Amino acid sequence: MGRIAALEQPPETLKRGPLARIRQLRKTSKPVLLAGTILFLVLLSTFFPGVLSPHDPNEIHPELALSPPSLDFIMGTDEFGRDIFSRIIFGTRVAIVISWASVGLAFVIGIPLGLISGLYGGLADGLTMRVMDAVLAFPSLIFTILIVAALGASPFSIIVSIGFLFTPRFARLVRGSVLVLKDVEFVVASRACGAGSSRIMFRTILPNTMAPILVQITLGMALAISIEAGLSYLGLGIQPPTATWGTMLRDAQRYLYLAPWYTLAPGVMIFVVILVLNFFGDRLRDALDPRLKRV
Amino acid sequence: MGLFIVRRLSATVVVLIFVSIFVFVAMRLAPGDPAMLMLGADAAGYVIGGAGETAYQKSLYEEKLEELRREMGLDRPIYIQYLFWIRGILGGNLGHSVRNELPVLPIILGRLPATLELLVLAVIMAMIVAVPAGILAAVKHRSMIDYAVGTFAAAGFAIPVFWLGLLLILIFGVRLGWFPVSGYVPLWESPVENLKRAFLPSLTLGLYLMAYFVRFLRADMLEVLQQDYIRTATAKGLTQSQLILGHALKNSLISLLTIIGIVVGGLLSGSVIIEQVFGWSGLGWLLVQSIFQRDYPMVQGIVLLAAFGFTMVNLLVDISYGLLNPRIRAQFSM
Repeated sequence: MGRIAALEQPPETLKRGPLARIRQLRKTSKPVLLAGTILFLVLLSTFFPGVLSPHDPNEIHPELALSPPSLDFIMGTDEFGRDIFSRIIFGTRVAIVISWASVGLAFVIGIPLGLISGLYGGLADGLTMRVMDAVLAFPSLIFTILIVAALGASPFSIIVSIGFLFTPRFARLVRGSVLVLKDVEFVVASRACGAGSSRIMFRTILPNTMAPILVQITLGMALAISIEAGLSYLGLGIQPPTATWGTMLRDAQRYLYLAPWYTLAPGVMIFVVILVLNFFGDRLRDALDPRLKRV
Repeated sequence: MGLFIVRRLSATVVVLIFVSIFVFVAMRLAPGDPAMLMLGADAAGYVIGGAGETAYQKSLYEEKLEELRREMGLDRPIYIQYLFWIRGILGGNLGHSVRNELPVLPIILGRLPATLELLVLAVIMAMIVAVPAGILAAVKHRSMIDYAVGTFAAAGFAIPVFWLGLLLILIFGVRLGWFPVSGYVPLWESPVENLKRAFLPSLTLGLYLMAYFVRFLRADMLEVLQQDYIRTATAKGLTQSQLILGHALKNSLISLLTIIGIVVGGLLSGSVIIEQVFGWSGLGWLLVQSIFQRDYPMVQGIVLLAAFGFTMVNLLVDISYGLLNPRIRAQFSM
């Protein structure tokens, strides 16, 4: 067993590659520090929304409805007099949990599919890939709308719809890497030493495809947040009174004339979070792809 | 090249079959079967939840339901139902709206021009800005212009389209009052009014597209400018504008074709939301309305048509890219 493990270690050059380059990211610059701080705050409000929010997000103050930003309500109040800032903080949890869960679902379905079709080829491969093509044949939001219409508007169906939507990304990515790696020496060596299919799949090949998958996870989360906000804005997402960024924007549009600040706050939040995730995704991709560095 | 087209076509047919299965299954998973929806949600609600229901009324409803199910073929195995459905589609029958029992297809096609108008205007607006901006950023690599363009593109990627739409309404509609912010007027009824109302929604979509185009053009131009044939052209003594417009841009615009596929998908998704923001009664607007009204045949029709259109665009893009790019052409010339 020890010998298999030793042989499975990818050659020095490959091993040095992606991970070492990720580590270089730690030589941080100002933008990275800023984006990191925002990400930290986002995670903080995901896990401990009570720490940051000054009010109860569902507490109603009818006499204060649609009041402009003040010291007590720093982003103003909505049509029921609820604190917009607190609702945004609590909305973070919904956005992050949904994006995590849906990307996680895509990961869990997509990776095995990609491994199997890459390694075995033939009918399994052809069939899987055509199904993946079919998912990609839908414009993304329309695909999620179809699934949500079928399953009814709930957090569960949003997660399923975005999860299915992202599955082809992971499956294709893994399949592509498997096709390349399948005949590389260290995999052949591992097979020659008697490693079984599942060991080859999960212990030998998969770790070497993790780098691009990491990029896909980061960018996927950003996209998931924007899709969830879009669905909620259309009224097909999370239902009131739960605070989400999309539903807040939906409500805000009705008071565009009376309370323009209401529209600004949730939008800025979506924008900043997606910007930060895209930023890290792009940095990661550039770090992993040396070809892009020169440009 | 013939072989390439045949292969691509047959793959498309297979994909479309899977697409139709998805749509069929999804709509069957939706609550209430087509017969129940046909009889109306009120009738079902009366039987299921009504307080004063009598056994007679209930049996009357169920009898009607059974009859309708038989009529619609819902008592047959599911794959037979699917085949019937497909046969209908191939004959141009996408089903009837649950709301008013009119055929779905003419209604959908009636809304198509409104959506297409937005998409065309968005592409035009995006190209007008993106082509010069992309070229400038690439030529003045690592200059202030380059960084400004890069920042703009990154922001364009992250900004949610519906929020951008709301911001534009806030600025141009509410504050400045330059444009009406909501509603659709057909182009043939009042071209001026139509364009005034189309401006903000297509600008919203256009800004999103610009981000894509600019980023792509910049990266592609940078790569093209390092190619040998560009150096040759420089050595030949061409002026910079001849070089860029005549040699580099031509190449980059052909590469731009490859992302058209992604962009069209994004545009179709974006237009669903944007039509809602601006009350623009196109296809996306109809789709969302139909979901709220549980008009599943309509939903089915729109989703199928969108997927079909998107797939066809991708097919055309692939084929025309093959025709325009000699390297791809060569791979398949046997």
